[in-house]
Amino acid sequence: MQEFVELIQAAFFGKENNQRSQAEQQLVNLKHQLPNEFFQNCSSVFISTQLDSQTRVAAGTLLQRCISYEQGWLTIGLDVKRKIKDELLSQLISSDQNIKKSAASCLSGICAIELPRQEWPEIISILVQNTRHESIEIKKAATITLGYICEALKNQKQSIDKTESEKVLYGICMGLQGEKQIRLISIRALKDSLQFMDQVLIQQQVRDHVTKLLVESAISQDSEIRLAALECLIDYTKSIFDYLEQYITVLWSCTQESIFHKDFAIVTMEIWQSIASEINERQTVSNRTNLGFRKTQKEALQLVAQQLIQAVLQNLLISDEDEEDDEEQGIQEAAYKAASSISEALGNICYQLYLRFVENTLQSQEWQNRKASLLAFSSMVETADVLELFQFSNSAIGEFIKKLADSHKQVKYAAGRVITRIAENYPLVILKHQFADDYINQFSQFLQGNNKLTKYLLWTLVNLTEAFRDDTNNQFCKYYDFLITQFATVIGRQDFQDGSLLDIAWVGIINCLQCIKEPQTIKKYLSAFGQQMVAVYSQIGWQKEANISGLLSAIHICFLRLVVLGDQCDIQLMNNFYSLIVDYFKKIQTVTQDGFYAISAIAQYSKINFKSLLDDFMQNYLEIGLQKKLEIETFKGAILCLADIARSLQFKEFSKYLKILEYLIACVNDSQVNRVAKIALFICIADIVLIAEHEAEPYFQAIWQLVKSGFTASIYFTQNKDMAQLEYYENLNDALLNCYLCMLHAYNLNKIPYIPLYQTIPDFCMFIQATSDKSLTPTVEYIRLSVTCLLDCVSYYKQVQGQENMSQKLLTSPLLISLLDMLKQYSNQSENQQLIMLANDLFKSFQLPQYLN
Amino acid sequence: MQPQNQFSLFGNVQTNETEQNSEVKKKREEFATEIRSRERNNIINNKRLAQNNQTQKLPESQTLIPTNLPQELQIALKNQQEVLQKRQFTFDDFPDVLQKIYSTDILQLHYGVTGLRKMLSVESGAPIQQVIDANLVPKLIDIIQKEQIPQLVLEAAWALTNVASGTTQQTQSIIDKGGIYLFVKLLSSQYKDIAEQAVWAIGNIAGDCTQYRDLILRVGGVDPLIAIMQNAPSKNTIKHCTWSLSNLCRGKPIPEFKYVKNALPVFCKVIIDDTDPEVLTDACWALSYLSDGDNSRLQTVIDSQVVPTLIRLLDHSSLQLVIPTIRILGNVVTGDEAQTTYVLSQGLLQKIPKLLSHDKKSMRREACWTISNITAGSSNQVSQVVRDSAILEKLFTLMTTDVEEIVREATWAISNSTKHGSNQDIQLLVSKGLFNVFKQLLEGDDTQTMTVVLEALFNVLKRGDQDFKDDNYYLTQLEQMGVISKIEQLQKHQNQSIYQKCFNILEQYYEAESEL
Repeated sequence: MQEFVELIQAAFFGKENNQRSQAEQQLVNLKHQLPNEFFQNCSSVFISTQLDSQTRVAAGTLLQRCISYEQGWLTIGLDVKRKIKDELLSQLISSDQNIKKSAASCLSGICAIELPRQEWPEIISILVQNTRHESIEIKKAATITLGYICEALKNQKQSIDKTESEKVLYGICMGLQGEKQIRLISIRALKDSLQFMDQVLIQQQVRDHVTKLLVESAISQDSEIRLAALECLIDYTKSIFDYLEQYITVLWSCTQESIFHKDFAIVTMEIWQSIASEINERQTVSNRTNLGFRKTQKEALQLVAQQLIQAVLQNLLISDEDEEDDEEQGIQEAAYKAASSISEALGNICYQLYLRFVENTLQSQEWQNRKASLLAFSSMVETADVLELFQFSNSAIGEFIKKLADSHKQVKYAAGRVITRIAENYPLVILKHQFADDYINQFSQFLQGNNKLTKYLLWTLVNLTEAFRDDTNNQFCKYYDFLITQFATVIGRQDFQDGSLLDIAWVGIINCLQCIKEPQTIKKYLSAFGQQMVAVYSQIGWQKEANISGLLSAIHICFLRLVVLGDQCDIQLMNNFYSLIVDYFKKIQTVTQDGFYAISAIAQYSKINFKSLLDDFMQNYLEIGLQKKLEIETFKGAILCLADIARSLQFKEFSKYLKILEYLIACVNDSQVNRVAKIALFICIADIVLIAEHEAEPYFQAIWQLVKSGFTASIYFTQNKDMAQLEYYENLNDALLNCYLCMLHAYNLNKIPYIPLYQTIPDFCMFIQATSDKSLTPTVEYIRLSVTCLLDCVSYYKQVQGQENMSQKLLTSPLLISLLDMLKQYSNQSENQQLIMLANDLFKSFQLPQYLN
Repeated sequence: MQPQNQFSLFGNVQTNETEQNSEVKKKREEFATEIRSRERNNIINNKRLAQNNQTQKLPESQTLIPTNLPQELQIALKNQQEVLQKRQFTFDDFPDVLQKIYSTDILQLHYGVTGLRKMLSVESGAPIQQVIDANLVPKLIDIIQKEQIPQLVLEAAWALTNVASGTTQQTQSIIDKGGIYLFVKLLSSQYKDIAEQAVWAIGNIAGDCTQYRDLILRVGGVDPLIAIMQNAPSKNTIKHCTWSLSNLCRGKPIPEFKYVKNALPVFCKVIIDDTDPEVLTDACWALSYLSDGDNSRLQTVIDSQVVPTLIRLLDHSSLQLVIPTIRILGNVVTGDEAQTTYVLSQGLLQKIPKLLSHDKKSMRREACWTISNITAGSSNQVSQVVRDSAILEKLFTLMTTDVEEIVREATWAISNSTKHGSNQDIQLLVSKGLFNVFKQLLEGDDTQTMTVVLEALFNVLKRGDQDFKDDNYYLTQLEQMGVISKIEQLQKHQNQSIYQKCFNILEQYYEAESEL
């Protein structure tokens, strides 16, 4: 025992690094070898009153970590568990606050594991009972523990039974009526418990009761309690969102005072912003899924809209003369966000209220009013694609532009802000305005002055360039050259703090380049960029860094643009720019993602001609990038560059590098390699296989194993929906589907079905089945790729002897039909139309009625 | 592997996963991803097409009504397109169409251009002049150059093609406005329908006159046409392109070879691959022009492996096809010894007797011309002709019985053989009755034929000198047959060339009498 105490002391308080890590290692070994003894020892040290508080708390911390780490608690015997629990409970009433908290923390860790498994149901009852205990210390300890349990459950995204939740909520409600300390803890516990209270709060009586208690706290004269209650309301309103109409007036009356109070205004407006955002979010989801949307919340919000909006707009007037950064967290900014969400939620019902405010304040003597006016309008046009907002912007834009010359700088900034927003969401207001040329000219003037205005007007112009891509009638091409020149002036500036504005200016240039339709013009710019690339090394610091990155990106875009325009490869151009990029690598003595992107575009432009550069590039540069497995950006750049080169060449030229597949496969299997890079690896493997065709046959099994583990991982994710990871898995799915598609087309040649691939179809279908459900709102790209793969499976395997039915069965499977139904919604895209036609042809070939006519 | 392990490969959020904070890089990534997936799709689509190309019809690679137009406009255009497709347009609609063509509204414009096109697409009596008079040619060109909606470009190009099918003067109205360059540019359109429309226009304009043809050649019309053929999705496209390209290669004066040389292998390939007599005829005519030249061209023809096909085509029932075919072969046998030998080894001569007996004079003429090209070659080649009794007898028959034009060609064929033929072959000719034929010809009145015969006689006599030394058997024969006295008579012929040839013979073998 003494030995164990010394180990803990050495591990936590040892002076030497060496000593500490040795002790840690010994503890870890003990835990693995004798888990029961280890846990018991920790607990014994923790409760030992002979020991000093510091050592005991250390033992508690160790215990708590080991309970939670990989659910270590589950590795020990029932008797030991029971004993430790009792020991921990006994410490809840310790007079030492630290020991008490540590005990509560350990208990919460145990609860987070056991409660979802229904292994320790009585604990809640014990704690809840104690929330009514006479001893204030016991009451407090019980409440703290309940709070910790809620927090632990929340952090581990675990849930508990409805009956247990009810008990927890009962305990919390007891606390909400207790002394200040207990009340504060309870409010926090309520906030943490909300994620598993859905089923409890469905009950009207419970809901009414909890709301009443919370609302009372929200108008408490004690500012700490009030603040905590208001903070809790932000989440609580979401939990009772389905019944919002029952509580909207009481919510308003409990916040209408706080909203004007400088200490509470921010959090109060956040409550209302969060309600409005929830309405907007549900509206968006319903638009995406065609599931129904109840209007009751919007109608509920409407009940208090007038007073609420007035209050929020009022808060917009709170400006600070000295405030340098107008977008910092403050009452005004909170008001801006709330105004924006509420305007989006209520739409045209509320516009008049905003407009009246805007009109009354825009020409005011007070600069604060003029600024608020501009901010109010800006908050409205945060919402895109609303006809009315387009019209309002159209009639007001001239006035806003005049305010760029206001006498007060903060008004100027606000004008910049609103114009930027209009340019982002309603670019045609400016581009199609009768004074468009004049406006764009005026905006350009600001690119050379005050940094802050430069920022706004630069964004304005860049936002306008975003609209160029949809310019089918070519009406804006007159601005391309002009704007590129304007953006170039920003790039030359040295008086900024960092390179972020240069970065934005390059975005503007790239947007213009992407719309140019004459190869000659692109080449003119390329030659200019080439010259600047030579000169850029003499710049310094962030300017050099941003401009190198911008130039390389612009070169990349130019070459890809030439690809899109179908320009024939000019060998000299290829060689010149290749040398330019390679010189860049030599100068900085390493390789970068920026450089790889540029090379990849040159390769795509040069197609087969790139073969003359292939060996030099592969051996002297790409090789280095491919080795940088842990530098994710460079590594990804190298991988995708390799993919693009492979696709641009014919296999004959690339064949000697085929063995690289082995390395790529090993990288996917390497747990050190970042999962984002793995997506690029799949894409690269897909492209190489696609051109290598049957030559890649030796790698088939290895690649299929990779794809299959990707499928499994994606299914696993889908079953444990973790929205924070959604984007990654969407991208992974696209990469997997692309890889499978490329395999289908690489291995099935000349109408000879490749049987090993045929045998993977059931696994593939399982993957699609698990990931394509409508409720998962699959992306268009995902649907398109899935349909493509399935249809190709059908057509390739029609000829497999004895399995003709299988092909037809796949074609008529509910899986494929439902995917086609989803695809049909996007049939305005020509590639999707083509797919539907392909499906129809297949139906026809089986003498089945066509899917769509 | 357990699911957990596989999940760990893709499940862990790693610390070095940084948010991309540069806007430029985000943009670049978006664009790169878009192009990457587009290029990959292209490769896959091609593979899929290759897989299905016999059984499936191709989906349109590009839709003519862009999908990035507002949805309502797309639908409206598609609907209007369908309606107009069924509707008839007459000249009564002209004012309406005219007004709509100048509208700024896309739907109206579409109506106007489509209406105009339909009006011009009638079999006869199309209001071409009216369209020109209404100054619509520049407007149509303007639409083609500026319009973003491919369907409109197609309709305008179609209308303009119909104008180009008018008289040379009417076509000129398009050329004056830069129409040639425009159509050549359209050949490279990414929209297959538009490119094919340009194919028609180019063919029409080139067929009008050789000046227009040369204008097209000079702005580089050949290569894009070839590109279309090489990627042609259908037999029809190949047919139209062959016709159009053939118009660019035909006609006298023949086009400068540097402009059309790339077309040569293309035609060879068409001839090998295609079976449609119209396509074959167009291709063969073009090739007959292109193969008229130096030996390197002829080698290109031979290398393309087209010769066996050409020889087979000599049996084709269409005279329009057989004539250019024999002409190509006739060109090829003007080449060097190896080239000619190759053609003969492919069995050309077996086909000749039938052609020499053909009902059509032009066919017989081409056949004789071809033989004359062979007999102008080496003694070996002469031998192959002379020892083919079917050919030889047929030639003698033609020389004595056919019309003047054919007699002349046949005489050339025989006469050439006297230059390089072996002494043995000359004997063979004589033994088959050559002198009788010659005598008859000298009694005729075609001076050209007579010149050729005299030339040939001189050659034969010279061979006699070699063959029989002092006792020239041929000279004796000719004296006995009275040919020599005929030659003496002909010395008085008014034609200088005949006089000279007679003089040469008499001077060589007799004391030539002075005329004076």
